[in-house]
Amino acid sequence: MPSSNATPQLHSAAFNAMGSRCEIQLYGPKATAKAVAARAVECVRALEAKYSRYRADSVTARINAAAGSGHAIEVDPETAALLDYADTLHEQSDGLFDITSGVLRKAWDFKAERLPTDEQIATLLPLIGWSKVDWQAPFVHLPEAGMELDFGGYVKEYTADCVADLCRASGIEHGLVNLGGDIHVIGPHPDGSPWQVGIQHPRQPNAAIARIPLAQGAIATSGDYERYMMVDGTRYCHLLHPATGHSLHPAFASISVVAARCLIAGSFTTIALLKSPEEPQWLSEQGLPYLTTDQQLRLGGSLETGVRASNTPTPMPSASVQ
Amino acid sequence: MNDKKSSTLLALTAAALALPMASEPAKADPPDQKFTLGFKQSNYKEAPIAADQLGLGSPERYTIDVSHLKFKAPVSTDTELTTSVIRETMSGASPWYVAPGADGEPLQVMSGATISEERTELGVDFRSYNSNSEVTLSGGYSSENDYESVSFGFSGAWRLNQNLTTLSYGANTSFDYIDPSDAESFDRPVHETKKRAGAMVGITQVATKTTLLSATLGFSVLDGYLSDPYKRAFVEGNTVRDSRPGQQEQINLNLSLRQFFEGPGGALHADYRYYTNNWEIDSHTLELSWYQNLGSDWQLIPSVRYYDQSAAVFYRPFYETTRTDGFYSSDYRLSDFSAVSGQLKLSKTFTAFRFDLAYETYSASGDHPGLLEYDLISLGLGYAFE
Amino acid sequence: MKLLGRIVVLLAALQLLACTQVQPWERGHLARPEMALTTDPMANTLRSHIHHSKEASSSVASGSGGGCGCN
Repeated sequence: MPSSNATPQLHSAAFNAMGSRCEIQLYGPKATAKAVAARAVECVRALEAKYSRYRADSVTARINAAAGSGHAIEVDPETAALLDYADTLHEQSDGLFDITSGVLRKAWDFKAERLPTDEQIATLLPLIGWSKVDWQAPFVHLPEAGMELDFGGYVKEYTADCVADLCRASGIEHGLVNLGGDIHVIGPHPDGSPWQVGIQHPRQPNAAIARIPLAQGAIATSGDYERYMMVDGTRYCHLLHPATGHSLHPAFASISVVAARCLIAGSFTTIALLKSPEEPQWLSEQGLPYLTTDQQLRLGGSLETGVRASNTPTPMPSASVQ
Repeated sequence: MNDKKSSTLLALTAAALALPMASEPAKADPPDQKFTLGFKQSNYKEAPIAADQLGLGSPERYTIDVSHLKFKAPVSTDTELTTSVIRETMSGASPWYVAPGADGEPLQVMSGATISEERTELGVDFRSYNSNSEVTLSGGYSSENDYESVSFGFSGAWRLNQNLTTLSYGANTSFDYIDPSDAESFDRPVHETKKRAGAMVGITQVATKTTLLSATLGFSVLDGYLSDPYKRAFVEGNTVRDSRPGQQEQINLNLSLRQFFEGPGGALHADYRYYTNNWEIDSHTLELSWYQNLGSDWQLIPSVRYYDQSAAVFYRPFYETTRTDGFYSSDYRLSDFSAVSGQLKLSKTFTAFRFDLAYETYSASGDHPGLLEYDLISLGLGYAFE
Repeated sequence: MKLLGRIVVLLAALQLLACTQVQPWERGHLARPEMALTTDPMANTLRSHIHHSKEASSSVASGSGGGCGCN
């Protein structure tokens, strides 16, 4: 950096949103960085409010409330693009990534540590299937009462991209957006050095299993540790098969993917986990840098990692960044 | 890592491109739904003519104070209206004609009286925008005691190729009415008119993550009284009215480069223009600017401009014989000259407020004794509100 | 007309230069205010008016605008 540029200061904002610990780190003149960070947090909250299942006034709630009513809901261009994206996810995952499968949470209560009965699952299965959804932009309609859309599978990654774009458009060149481990690097540290992204250890909370240097682009991580229960020594995780309604047993405990956009990276981690019982090699054929942790906690993949740091305590639950 | 992109990656990338933030156009500049107010106060001052170039009259030349106010307001979600007022106050003497000195060297004769006048210009732009194109309708009116002008313009743009390419076009026309003061006592024409019609096409291309290229081609035709009613030409010992052809065709080609440099955090602007007309004037203009970000939203912008033109075919500083075509002009604007100018500008942006201060110095060189040197100082203020 | 021919070739070359597809999210630098073709329209109006009235050349640009002040 030339001497004419005042040494940029690091400004960080940590907050809870979208069910995760979030953090925005920006370098810049203090007032600018602070103002941009505030706008960034606002952006996260706005998207959370727009797509939350829990808010009656959200787009998701409006669509779900009209399920089976015969009345299609007209959606805005952003939601339309997200629905088109869901269609692509469904197609590219051979039907495994299905945004209508969220309704299974009614049977799968991970906190209760009790497996659902076959009966419970059987009553929910007719409500699942993206191909049943009547989606003709800009109108969407869920044909069966009780059907639900859930954007939770990728809206956090999309938000990380939006926030990074917003910061860049506001003149921030060095910084990072971390929404619960879905990370979009705005740009490297001011001296050009990469951020050190800690990858959550799948079996030890608040510990990193690896460190990945990232100067630009995005990284997303998913695993069987996010929501799960142990029943009779078997791990049942939140990855549910939309056709059977049963919990999948992924070949990997955790997968991280690096891509230009967090949304793309996150889509690959999820599809790869969903496909892993049948096609564990699928991700290695996609041409994107990735890191896998298998069920024996062996690291694999094409990403260059820092030293394995399984016992390093980290401040962030899903990923840490330095 | 595989070099071949997977079909899943291509499909997801294509779907992600449709998302609004990702596809926010780089240079599409949609109406921002804000009211903006801009004000610029400038002082333009020409240097006096050097004693050894002056034949007769005052060496003092023009001083102009310019106030420019511009206001933009949203009309609907995708339209906006911009109005502007320019007020100029001018005083000083101006070059009248050129006479040969004792050794046959050209000497500038200046107008005797100190002229003092005012010009007011009003402009309106109405812009309508949609996701892939936009159009702007413009109107303008300018008034001086001896000159009135009405102008209309229509321009537009199409954004193609995921906003990587912008095609622009425009057409405009103006009607001028010239009624020189003191016409009888100084043998000046009265009630003259001039028409102009022009058209342009352009292309702007995103070439790399940090490079923008643009090319514009313009053509225009002028018709009517194109001479200068206040100037005369020295022909065989007498002076005659400045008299130029009643028609002119012009072509201009502008090429622009905008290159961002991440290291120093600044941008280079390079603009070149080639101009030619059927009076055989060709010109080349090159302007280079560097936009240096200084932190805290301060910006320092040094720039240099070089201009070079050839003379009109009928131009002479003075005439030793009469011309068969009857065209005479000794206006320095039609002479063979080049000019260099340098500018330094400092600007600061706050959240809603910005200001800038600029100084420019210009100096022309060539054979004409009345070539120009001027200094320009501008203070600009801007304010945006919802 | 020879000039027009050259210009058509030049416009085609401009298109070819953009051989690498710049993705929308990679255009952050291009969106910066100092990367605009015209960064200060009011200053541009003033300087174009001065150059137009003191030099022989002028350009056809978008918009209207006229008047003289040409002494």
